[in-house]
Amino acid sequence: MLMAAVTALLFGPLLTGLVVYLLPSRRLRDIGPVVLAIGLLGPLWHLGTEVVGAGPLVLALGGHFAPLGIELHVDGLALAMLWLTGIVALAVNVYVSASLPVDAHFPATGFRALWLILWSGLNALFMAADLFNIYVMLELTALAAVSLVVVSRGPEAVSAATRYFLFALAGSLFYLLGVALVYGQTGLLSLRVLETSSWGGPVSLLALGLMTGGLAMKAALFPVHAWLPRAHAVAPSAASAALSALVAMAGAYLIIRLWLGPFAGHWPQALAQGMAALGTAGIVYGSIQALRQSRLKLVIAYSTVAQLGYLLLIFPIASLLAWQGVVYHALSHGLAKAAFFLAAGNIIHLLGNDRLTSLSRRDHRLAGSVMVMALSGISLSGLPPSGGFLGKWWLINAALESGQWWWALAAAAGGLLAAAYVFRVLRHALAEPHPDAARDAPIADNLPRRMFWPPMLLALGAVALGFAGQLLSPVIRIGLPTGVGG
Amino acid sequence: MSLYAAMPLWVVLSSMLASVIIFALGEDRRRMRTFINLAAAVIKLILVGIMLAGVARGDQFGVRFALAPGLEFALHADSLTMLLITLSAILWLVTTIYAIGYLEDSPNRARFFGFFSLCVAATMGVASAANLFTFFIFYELLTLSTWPLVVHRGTPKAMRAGSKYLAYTLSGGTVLLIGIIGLHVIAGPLDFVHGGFVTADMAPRSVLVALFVLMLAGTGVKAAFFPLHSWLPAAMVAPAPVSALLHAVAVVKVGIFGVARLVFDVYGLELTAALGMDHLLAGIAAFTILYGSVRALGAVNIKQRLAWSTVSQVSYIGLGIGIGGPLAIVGGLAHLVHQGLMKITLFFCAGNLSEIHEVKNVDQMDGIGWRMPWTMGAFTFAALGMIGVPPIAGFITKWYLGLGGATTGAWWVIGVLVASTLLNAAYFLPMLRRAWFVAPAGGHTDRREAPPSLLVPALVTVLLAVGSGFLAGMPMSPLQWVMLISERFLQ
Amino acid sequence: MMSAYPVVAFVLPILPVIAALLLFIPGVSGPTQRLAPWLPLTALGLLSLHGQVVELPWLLLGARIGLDSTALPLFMLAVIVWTLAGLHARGNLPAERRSVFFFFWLMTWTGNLCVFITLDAASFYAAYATLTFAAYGLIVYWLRPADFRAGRVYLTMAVIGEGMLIAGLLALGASFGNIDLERGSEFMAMLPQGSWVALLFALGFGIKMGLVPLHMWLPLAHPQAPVPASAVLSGVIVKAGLIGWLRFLPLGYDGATLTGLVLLVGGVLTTFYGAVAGVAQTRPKTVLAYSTVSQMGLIAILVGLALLYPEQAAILTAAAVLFALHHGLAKASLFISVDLAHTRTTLARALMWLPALAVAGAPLTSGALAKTLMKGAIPATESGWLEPVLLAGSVATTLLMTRFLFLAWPREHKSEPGWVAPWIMMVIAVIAVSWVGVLMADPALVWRPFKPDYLVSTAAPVAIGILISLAAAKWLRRDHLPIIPEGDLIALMPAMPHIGKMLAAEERQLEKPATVFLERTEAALGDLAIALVAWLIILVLMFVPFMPGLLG
Repeated sequence: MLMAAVTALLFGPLLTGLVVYLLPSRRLRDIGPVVLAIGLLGPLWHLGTEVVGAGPLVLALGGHFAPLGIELHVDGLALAMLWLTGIVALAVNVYVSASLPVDAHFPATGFRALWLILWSGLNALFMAADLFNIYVMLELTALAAVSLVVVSRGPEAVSAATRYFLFALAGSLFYLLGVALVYGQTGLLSLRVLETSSWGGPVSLLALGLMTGGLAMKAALFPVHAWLPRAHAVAPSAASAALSALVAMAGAYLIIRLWLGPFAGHWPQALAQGMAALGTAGIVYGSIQALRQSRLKLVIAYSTVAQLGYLLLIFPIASLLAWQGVVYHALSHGLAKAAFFLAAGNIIHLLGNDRLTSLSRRDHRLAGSVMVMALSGISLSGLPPSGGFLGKWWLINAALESGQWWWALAAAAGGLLAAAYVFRVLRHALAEPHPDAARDAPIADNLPRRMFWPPMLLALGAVALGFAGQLLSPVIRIGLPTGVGG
Repeated sequence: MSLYAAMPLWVVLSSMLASVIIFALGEDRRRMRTFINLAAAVIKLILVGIMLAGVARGDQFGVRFALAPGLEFALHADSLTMLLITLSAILWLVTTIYAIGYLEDSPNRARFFGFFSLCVAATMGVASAANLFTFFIFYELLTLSTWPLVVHRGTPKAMRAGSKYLAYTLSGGTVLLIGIIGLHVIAGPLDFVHGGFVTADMAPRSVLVALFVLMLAGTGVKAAFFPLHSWLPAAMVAPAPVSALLHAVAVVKVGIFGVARLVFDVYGLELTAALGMDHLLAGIAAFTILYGSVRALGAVNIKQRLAWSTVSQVSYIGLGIGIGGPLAIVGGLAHLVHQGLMKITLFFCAGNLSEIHEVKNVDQMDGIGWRMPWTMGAFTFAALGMIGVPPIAGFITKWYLGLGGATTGAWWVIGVLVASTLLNAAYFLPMLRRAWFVAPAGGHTDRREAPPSLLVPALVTVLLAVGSGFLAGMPMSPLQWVMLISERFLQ
Repeated sequence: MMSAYPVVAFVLPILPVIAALLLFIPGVSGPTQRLAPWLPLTALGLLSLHGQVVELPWLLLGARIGLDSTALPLFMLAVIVWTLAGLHARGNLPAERRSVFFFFWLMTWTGNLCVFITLDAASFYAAYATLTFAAYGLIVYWLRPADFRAGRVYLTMAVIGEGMLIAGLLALGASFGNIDLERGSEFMAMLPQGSWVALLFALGFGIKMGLVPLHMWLPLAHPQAPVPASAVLSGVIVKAGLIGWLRFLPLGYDGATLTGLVLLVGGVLTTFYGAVAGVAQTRPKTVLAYSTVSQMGLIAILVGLALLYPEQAAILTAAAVLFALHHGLAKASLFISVDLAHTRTTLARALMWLPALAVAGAPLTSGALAKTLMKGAIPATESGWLEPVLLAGSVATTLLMTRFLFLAWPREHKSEPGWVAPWIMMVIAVIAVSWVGVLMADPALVWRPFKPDYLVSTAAPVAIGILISLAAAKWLRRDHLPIIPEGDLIALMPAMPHIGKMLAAEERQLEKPATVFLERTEAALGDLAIALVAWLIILVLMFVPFMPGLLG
């Protein structure tokens, strides 16, 4: 039963991509992925009850455990990320079922197939339990993601995708080198086995460095983030949502996994401080860049660069509270950022462009999307009541508790910077009409409900996370990695 | 948890729900919106009335549920809560009526009233928060819900003011957050306790001082203490009902309410004094009182002058809390209500002046008194009250503050009060002189009074202001209620 | 059983306020205006409170209302002068803005009345402030530039005075709360910082009394107001300062030497300075205002002495009150006579010298009685230098009065319609008050003023004054005197700097910081990928030879 659930998560989207392709009517093709996404909530629920009930799961595909077979691993963190993927995917599927048919720019079939491949890849990545599997899945998701960027055609898309591709390639190679070093040193690939075996030394540090560097390029952590803003801005909004909320997050997820799992204890505290410093630099840099953009999707994309920086703050603190904070941050960022991008997509759907000044049109059809941006912006800025707030609270709490007040300051300042760029966007929406705003006539008459509600519900979800701390914090503590201290 | 005990929650939800409904209704359902607005305000007033009676009887109100391990969302109602809640419930009703009249035929009313209700909900939440965590949630919610109101007009000036407002208040919020979490680390649960839950042995003195300063700075931004005040005069570009609410109950009051909670229920008066923080607070407040008054002299725009006056007047409350001692606290907290009543009147009237006769600057006020006598009559009484002319409410405040200062040996307080009185007179009296005694320029002598929806609110609040001074000895007058609070704090 | 007293104590003082508001209600405005001058008479109902105190705990900070014997004479004075002056106003002011006039009139009256009948500190202050602010409306009633100047000076100084008072009240309240005013002196004497607080009260109320050098507003403001308003301002409202002194100075107790000296010296200075500056005036009403300043100097001398000689305080203050009573009536009728000198010349010629004589202290007038009492009250140790001073003061007052009569004397014959009965009644009151007073005290004393030595002693200063004025008539008659500007010292002050303009902040706009750096950085980071890939390829190439070994 469990195995069936996992298999459904892994292969369901892939197969659906194929099946949908064969479906006769466009209407069915639109609805198919939605049905799948709803259907996959069942396996997710089952997986959830199992993990909550019985602790972290280790599954072997085909019955062979490490070091021979392919292992899958679902602990609290992975479960949370899987659920996030499931929910965001549902929203994206509903959204595209309405947006793709009317969007002349994107070839619907190609988009749908790529997106479904990406979805499978993400599910696999979050459950993957050995270094090499991770590499394979990284390649898979990277290829799908790059293609999703380029799917919108046009010279700008090609240039952005090329850059993305180069970074992804370099990232993969770095990561692979690291894997090679680890394997050469220990002959092991399973995260679980590595975590318990005693090894270390300079080679492991080098391997960690290479793998971190590679993953950082995938996750677009500062200073190797430069592909992300352009790629995410140029991609179809539904794709941007998935890319920012899930794909970039997956890279950071793996870094955390590696540092606190197999490599726990291998790194000196100074390195951890350095990582957090890099994260802080990313927060500041990304936010400042976001503040300078004049296009909505670029603002959101740079915001992703900034938000990912928070995740690195866990390393010097590495306490339970910090863990909770970081995971919570990742979850609420996922929901909020997806909502934000989808709302931006709605604006583009209505107005045909995403210039910030266009937001100042006196147009009541924009109000709903602006509201979505406001709600998700609140979560991004860590303002109460929202998931982002709770995450930030825990993070600051952890930092102060460990006496490292400077990271508390960093987290707090990051929130302020986020508020600055979020409100800069909203500011345009509330201002009196800008002369540029009337330049282009709106291109659509109305906003389909299937495009309005997914972002709205995602944003409300990000806010609602703020009320679910009591419920979720025990879950994300399940199967804590060894690197997290009490 | 009975429905009766959960009363604070209903009070908060009543306006929050109204807000959601108003957003959902959309722009065009005008009559329905007006109905919802007024119904919610009246319902809230009734709920608050029931609660007030309950608290006076000694009933316990409270709701709490955990948002996260160790972090509880908790509301309660103590006498301090009731002070702010009652004031805002009354003034919300009045301001709603005013705002409906004021914004007739202007765009984006759904947005306006939605955030308006949300802003009141946040104020109610701040007032009834039972711990710092809940307090902070509503404190930030207030920032968020008032910003759209401040920038409502959308002009470049309004947008600049709005950005300034956000920059100040969000930074303040962040500082407050760090302070609160720091306190959480050293003290554990954050529930308000009369007399304070922080004790001197929890952490080194320097840490306690640092956390106090952080939280004071965080709340001081909204209370517009010098040098964190400059958002307030800028924010006067908002529509008159917003300024009225902002200056009277919502933002600045919440800030100063936070200071009160910090001193009374977090650190406690004794520890505050032991850390020397009472002097800090009183000193800042005293300086702000004088600084705000001096700057008000220089303001040409009526609303800006009123805004600077708020900077000054709100610090009276801080001064009262800072001085400590029963009399000064009575004076300070009574001013929470008194200043609210008087300042809201002034802003209503300023709104009427600009709305009906396009009078925006002080030098345009010539002869306006005889052109709209009721409005200016209300303005006059409120302004005199601000100066501290008895029997209007402002006098009661000054009396108790002065007594409080003198009884605790802080004679300089009397000096500050007298200087402030003189300065207040220096910027209010010329306005009154122009309004009543100078012939209108350009032969504008047409007598046109504001419509009832704009006039009645101003008259109601000015009557309350005069009444709470003139009848200060009546049971349930603001003064008597505040005395009750002070007794409960100091027993 | 509920007593009627609280109702009386609350309703009667509030009645004029209600009437003042009714003045602006269309329909009832006319009748209210006609009734307004009579309203001060309703206060007579408060006489029923004489000798007791009504407590109204719900009012302000717990109000206490009553009519004690200190205030009774001044209360009577107020009722008489306000009623008669009000009737005069109704008969003689232009109808156009009369409702505005009566609004401020009634508000000021309320304040003035309550100053006399409130017996707790907070209510007293409330009344005093009402009086101060409402009187502004009377002073600037004509709305001429000079009125506004006078009003500004008045208000500035009055507010400074209020500041001193509230400081004093707070200092007092800090120790004793909202004190009973019957025992105000007692509390002051017990106050540790009493001597400083007493000084605050002396100066604060001294502003209202026109004590030099705090008098500048008075010669500006009193003449600018319409005649009936000038009458109550000079006749009654200045006495609010006196009642303040009586309530708040530690009379009858030791320890206020400093304040006593200040008042004594200030009083002497005021007496002469007022007279000298007054003689040099060209407008009759200004002369009268300076005369008020000068006369208040005498009251200050008495109160100062009362502080210095606590054992004689009772008699000294009694003399001061009596003097205030006499001065109030006489000065009010003099002010009103200025009006009549323009309209009813015959009548004015016939009667206006009478109150002037009374002010000068001519025999058989209230002035003579007041000055005799005053002389009798002066402690023996001080009489050596004070009696000549008082004598000189009387001479100076006589000079002032002749100057006034010269300036105000009706030169051409006119008889315009207008109501003169109020004025005639006031003059009668001036004549009658001393006799009634003496009769009530002891009928046997009625004959004393006719005794030769008494006649001589009271007539002498007046005679000297008249002689001097006759000798100087050439100058007194015309405007040849060296002219002191109205408000004297105020002219020394340069135009007030406009603080507002100096402070008006200009809105500054921040320039955007250069963004070139950020753009370059971002571009460079974007190109990083190519460099990274190239570097990786080299790295991999370097590793390839070792690969088999590493993998194992």
